[in-house]
Amino acid sequence: MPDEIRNAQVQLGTALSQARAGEDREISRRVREKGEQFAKIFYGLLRMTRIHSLDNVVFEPPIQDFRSVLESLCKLLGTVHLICVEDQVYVNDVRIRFEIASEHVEAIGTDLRRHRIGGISFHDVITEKQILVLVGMIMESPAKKSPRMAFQRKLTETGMSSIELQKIFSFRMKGERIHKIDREFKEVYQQSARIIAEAYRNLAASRLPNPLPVRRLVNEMIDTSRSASVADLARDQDRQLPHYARHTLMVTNLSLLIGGVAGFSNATLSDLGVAAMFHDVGHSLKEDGYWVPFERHTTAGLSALMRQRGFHEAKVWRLLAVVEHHRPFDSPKGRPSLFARIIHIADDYDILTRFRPGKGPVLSYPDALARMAAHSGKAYDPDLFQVFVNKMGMFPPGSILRLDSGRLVISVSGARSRKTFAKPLCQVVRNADGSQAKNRERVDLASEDRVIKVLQPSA
Amino acid sequence: MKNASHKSDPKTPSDSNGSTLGPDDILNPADAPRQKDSLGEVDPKGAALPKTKNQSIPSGSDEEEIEAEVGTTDSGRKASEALIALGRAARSFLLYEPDNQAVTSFLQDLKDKFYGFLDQYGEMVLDIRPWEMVLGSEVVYLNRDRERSLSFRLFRDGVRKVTITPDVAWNELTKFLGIISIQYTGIRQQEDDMVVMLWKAGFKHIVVESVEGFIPEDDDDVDVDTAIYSDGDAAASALTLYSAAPEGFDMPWPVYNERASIRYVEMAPEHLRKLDEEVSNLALPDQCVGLLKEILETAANPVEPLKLEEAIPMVQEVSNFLSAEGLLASLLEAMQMVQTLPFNRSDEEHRMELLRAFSDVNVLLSVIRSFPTGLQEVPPQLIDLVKMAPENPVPMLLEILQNERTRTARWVTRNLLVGMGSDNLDHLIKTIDQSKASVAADLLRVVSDIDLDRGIRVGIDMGIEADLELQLVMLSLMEQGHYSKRVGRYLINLLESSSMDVRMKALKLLVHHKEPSAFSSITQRLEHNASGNELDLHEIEALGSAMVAIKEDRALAQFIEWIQPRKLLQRMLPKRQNLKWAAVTGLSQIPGDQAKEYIRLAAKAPGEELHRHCMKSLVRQRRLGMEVRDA
Repeated sequence: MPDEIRNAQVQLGTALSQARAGEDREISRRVREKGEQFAKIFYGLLRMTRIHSLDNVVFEPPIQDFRSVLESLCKLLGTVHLICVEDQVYVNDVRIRFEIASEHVEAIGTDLRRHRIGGISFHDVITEKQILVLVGMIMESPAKKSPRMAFQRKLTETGMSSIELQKIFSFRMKGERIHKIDREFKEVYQQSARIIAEAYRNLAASRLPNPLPVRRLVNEMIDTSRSASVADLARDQDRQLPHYARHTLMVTNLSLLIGGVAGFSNATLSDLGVAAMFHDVGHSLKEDGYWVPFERHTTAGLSALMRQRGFHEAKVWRLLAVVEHHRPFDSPKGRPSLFARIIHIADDYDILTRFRPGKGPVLSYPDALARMAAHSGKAYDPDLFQVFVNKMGMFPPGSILRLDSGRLVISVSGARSRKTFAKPLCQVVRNADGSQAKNRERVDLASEDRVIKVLQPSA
Repeated sequence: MKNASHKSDPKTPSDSNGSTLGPDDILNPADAPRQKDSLGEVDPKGAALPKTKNQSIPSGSDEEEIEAEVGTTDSGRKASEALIALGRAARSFLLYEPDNQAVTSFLQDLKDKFYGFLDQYGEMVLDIRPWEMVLGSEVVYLNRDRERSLSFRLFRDGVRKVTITPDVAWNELTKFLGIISIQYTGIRQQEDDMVVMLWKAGFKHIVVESVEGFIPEDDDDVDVDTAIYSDGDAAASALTLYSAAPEGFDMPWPVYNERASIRYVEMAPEHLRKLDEEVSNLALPDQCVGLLKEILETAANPVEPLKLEEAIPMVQEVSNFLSAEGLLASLLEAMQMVQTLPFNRSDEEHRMELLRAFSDVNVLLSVIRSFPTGLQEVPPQLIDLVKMAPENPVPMLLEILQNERTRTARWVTRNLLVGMGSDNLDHLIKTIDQSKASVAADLLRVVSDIDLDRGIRVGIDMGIEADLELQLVMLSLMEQGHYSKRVGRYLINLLESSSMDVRMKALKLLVHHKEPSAFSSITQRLEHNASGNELDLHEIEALGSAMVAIKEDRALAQFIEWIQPRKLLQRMLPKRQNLKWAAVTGLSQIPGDQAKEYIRLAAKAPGEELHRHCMKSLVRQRRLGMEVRDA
């Protein structure tokens, strides 16, 4: 047998067994079995409402069965997705086959589509009474305005916020926007706020986190960041976004910056980015109606994210990052994981430098860097911190500087090289005479002028 | 909207993604039933796979799951063949183990077909549609089964275009195949979909364009759960939602009063490499243990709301991973954490559940399966792990022994059972009776390793009808154990075994112990097989020698009788070659003229072979006589 065929077999075998590490064929078989039962009982319940009123005892056995199957599936999968796509019905990734192909599919899909629902995600087991209510709601007439939203609101009012309704899905290529890697970084950044909000909303509503859409976004960020400048990455793109979202995005960007300079692969960067996106999810959670206190937001995040089923190394890194991202480098509990150490640097840097309306930032960019540097080796991994410093330069992007010439400028680049470490590219804000600079004039400190003072931005 | 061309789904044999036949059921293509599945290319005569580059894969059935061979132009047909080969190779991992010969053939076919196209026609640019792939304007792949279709798998996850350039490396193609194959087998991949995996692969010569998977249709329904956060206008609610975190969520700020100088420092490549190693697969087990520590310490912390019960699924997943990789030290470390952390008393039951999860039959099986063949020593960590199991591990080990019959598994499990000691001896003995023969043989070994004489007694009680393997085990035990009359009787019974190997070994032991009561059995055995081919010559000789070893004088008398029977009737009976042969062999071991005389007499009987045997025996006997004289 030629070597390269043999090598390919070995490598494929390893890759597949690693991919299967979080599951086995027995689980696959059980998911398929239970998934089929789940879809068919659901279909049966919908049909029964056409014949019997909801208070009829005939509903009791199938509802009990449905709950039992749902419980088994939640245990196996975490979240159970019942999705109707055109003429197909899926329970998670498994297509459900029916004996008579079209009839059952049509019924489930049609009933849901009346409410502009393409699928239902069960993030937790619901009671038998709630199942009956759900089935009844599906068979009711849809709301005239925003039917899916109305349905979702009603679910929450009846204590079923763990049920998430999906939009109608389609396989059709209707004016799709093909992923292009030359999208503007800013465009990606702005889209990302929606994705973050979605992810955090689900967590806050006790739904299980789905990292996949976040990952796709992060991958796009990685792609577009290759052509973006450090300034784009390191400065807020949109001050209209709430602090929470901006902070999350900033930490993600800065983490990817550090990871990129450290030479991580795409796969590692992707995992790092997703971990950074979720690093502060604990803050969005509540205990007994109160926001989780700061000292417990890491473990709260860990608890929430841990509910995702299926072993994957990215999940391991992510959970560690969430729980350890405030832990000092020299912690007596042991060195934090790599992603946690990176996110720690990014997190603190953003916290110390983020502009707060009415208050301004805590510190200027150079000052923040200098103070953090004093804790390199103690709070922060010295190698990672140095990587960060090497990239940001003495006057990181956003630094407000007074030059020898009297001009007031803002740094718009990081360190472009060793030689330009303290000589960034700047944009002139005010001329020496105090007048406003025009036409976005730039000055390269590598070839002219020099910094004499760093200014603290005011509120 | 209904797809009018979609046929009803046929009943198909199963695979792990939906069918009753699991890949575990098939380890050898020769064993593979003739499926009407998408691998219906199996040759009914058994030569399932192409042996040479030019040999076409036998056409499959007319079932709809099979990709149709499409393509109207030459390039289209070649592209079609390549894509069918890709689909087959990907699905082969559902049916066969990766190192199976079948997979080898599929990979070779894939390579040949793909490079065949690329070398001739240059890059392959495929537009991905729900059930077809299009090259230029030509359909080159078609499979309408959305579960088995390669095209649908790609399309569903958002892949819209794939471009493979002519200089694509083989390892890139196999990586591509690996990604598709994972999707075929995966059921809980929430971390990656096809697009993400293709992106992560960072291909240089395979370019993928994509959208976001299932396409949600745009509608006016603002997808916001307003009831949770506020009433009122959806847009305002969205903003409220987006700011779902407490004011001052980022406080307290780090308080740093000192400053240090900032300067550029060149980073040594080895420092950066070390960072990367921290997220490699090698580092994963330690990180898993670290994570478990965090989770368990949080659950044990009375201030934290996390309950141990909530941690169980995650802990089980990690332990499954560690066991599948055979990472015993990490498993043990995790188990020790569970055992020693100060959980709440109300969590005791969950603690037990976790300890069971770390040492249940699936974990042990995974660990045992990860061992290489030819393992010389049971890892001490495995012994520790088994001993830490909260319940008696013997039933689990017995279950593994019953069901996992590889040599390594049997050896490891036997050793573990022996390690459990004599407390479980009675249980093991009881299980022997209820077990299949080869399992009983293993158990007998275990019992004997714990208590040899007891094992021998148990084996004897099982009787001569016991399985051949059991007989062989018994013989090896009897070689080591104490000899007794009972053992002797058992060995004599074994002279009637259907296996010559068993008979010879039994005979050897009887000779070694000079069991007098064996003499008549040996004699009878020879007389019952006086002529014919039931006894091998080697055995006949051994029997003859055994008679001499056990009772020389009696043997001499018997040999004389066989060579020259006194009774006329016996002289008239058909030739009793086997008896003469045994006698001559035996006589060659008895010094003296009488023995010599009868050997010569036997030599006169018809039969050239017997004559030759007599001549050789005479030489031997003479030599023996000289040795005796010298002695």
